[in-house]
Amino acid sequence: MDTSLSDDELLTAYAERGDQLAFRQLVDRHKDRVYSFILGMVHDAELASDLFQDTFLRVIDVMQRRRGSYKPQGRFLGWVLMIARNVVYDHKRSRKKWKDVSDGDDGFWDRLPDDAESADEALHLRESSQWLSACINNLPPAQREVVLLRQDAELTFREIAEITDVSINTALGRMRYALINLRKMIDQQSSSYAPGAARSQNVQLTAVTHV
Amino acid sequence: MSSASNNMDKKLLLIQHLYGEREDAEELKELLKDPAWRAEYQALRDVKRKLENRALRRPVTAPESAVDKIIASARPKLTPIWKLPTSRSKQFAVLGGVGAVAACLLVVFLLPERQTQESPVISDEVLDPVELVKWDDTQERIEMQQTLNVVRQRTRPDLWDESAVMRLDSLAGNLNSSPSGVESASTLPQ
Repeated sequence: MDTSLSDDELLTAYAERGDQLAFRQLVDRHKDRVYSFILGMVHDAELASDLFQDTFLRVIDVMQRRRGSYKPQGRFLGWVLMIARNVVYDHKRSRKKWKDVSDGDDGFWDRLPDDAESADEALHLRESSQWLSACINNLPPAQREVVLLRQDAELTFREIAEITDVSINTALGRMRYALINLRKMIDQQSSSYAPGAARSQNVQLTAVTHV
Repeated sequence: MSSASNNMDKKLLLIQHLYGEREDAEELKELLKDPAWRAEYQALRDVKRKLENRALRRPVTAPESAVDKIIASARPKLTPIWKLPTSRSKQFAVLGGVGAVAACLLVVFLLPERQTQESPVISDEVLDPVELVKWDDTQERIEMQQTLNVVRQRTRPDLWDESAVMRLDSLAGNLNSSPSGVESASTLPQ
């Protein structure tokens, strides 16, 4: 299979001729970004794997139902991420576990290691990707979604606006507030590990939720 | 009001510049002349870098077992016979095709079987040529030839000329005397 083929060419090869190799190549090309987005939304590797499968099963279902008449409508990754988003929201609705950052009993600080670390360890933790992932997890859902779609899935803001069914200005505004909130979390965490600062202060962070 | 919306536009422009979705370098330079905007841009850029480093440090990969299941599910499915097209004409077309295939299979599989049942057993035994022509009995052949000649004579075309009509008239004359009242052939309208 020619690796230089575009997404649309691969998609057409699968939709029109049932070319499985073309579909395999499409999945391999985008699987990590789709999985990363789902994992960022649900924070559970096992559940993310299930929802990842559900996403592509829906893709296959749509492709097979439209066999012979499928016309590529745009960027494949954007389309798959829109399906992934629907799968995630369907799951959250079915479980009734969709919690806003403000009413969650499993708060941001609860997810962080509770032991009092040394300053070096704290610094390492702060710098670690795990810590930043926890920060992203603590963002309001709409902002978290934009961060994951822009940073991990590498969609443009126009694509994010289409997927989330908002204007491009709203998508940009959410990203801005998300970055501002992440900046606050980083600063607050830094100050809590500053010499003399009490770790047990249990600082509560109020994320900006204007958008 | 217009100033507030202008400020908001500038904030959104900063985000677009930050993520490289706006190519106008002059516009960015103009924005960054304002210390407040410059400070915000730098702060947001730091956070963006941290997010990018996070992704580089901890790349997320999709589990291969899930990918394999997806690929296995992507096999093209054959449409079962009970899921025929909804259109009646298409249904007839599909059923006709299935019927034709079934008929061909019957011909292919059953006909050779019948032929093998009826075909004579061929043995290696060499038959005597005299035995082969034994059925051609002379007396039988003469009788068959005689029968054939009689049939030919009776069906000669000249048997249906005037003499034949006269013979029919005489036959009809005999019938006229009968109470059935059958008219002779000569009195029939020409």
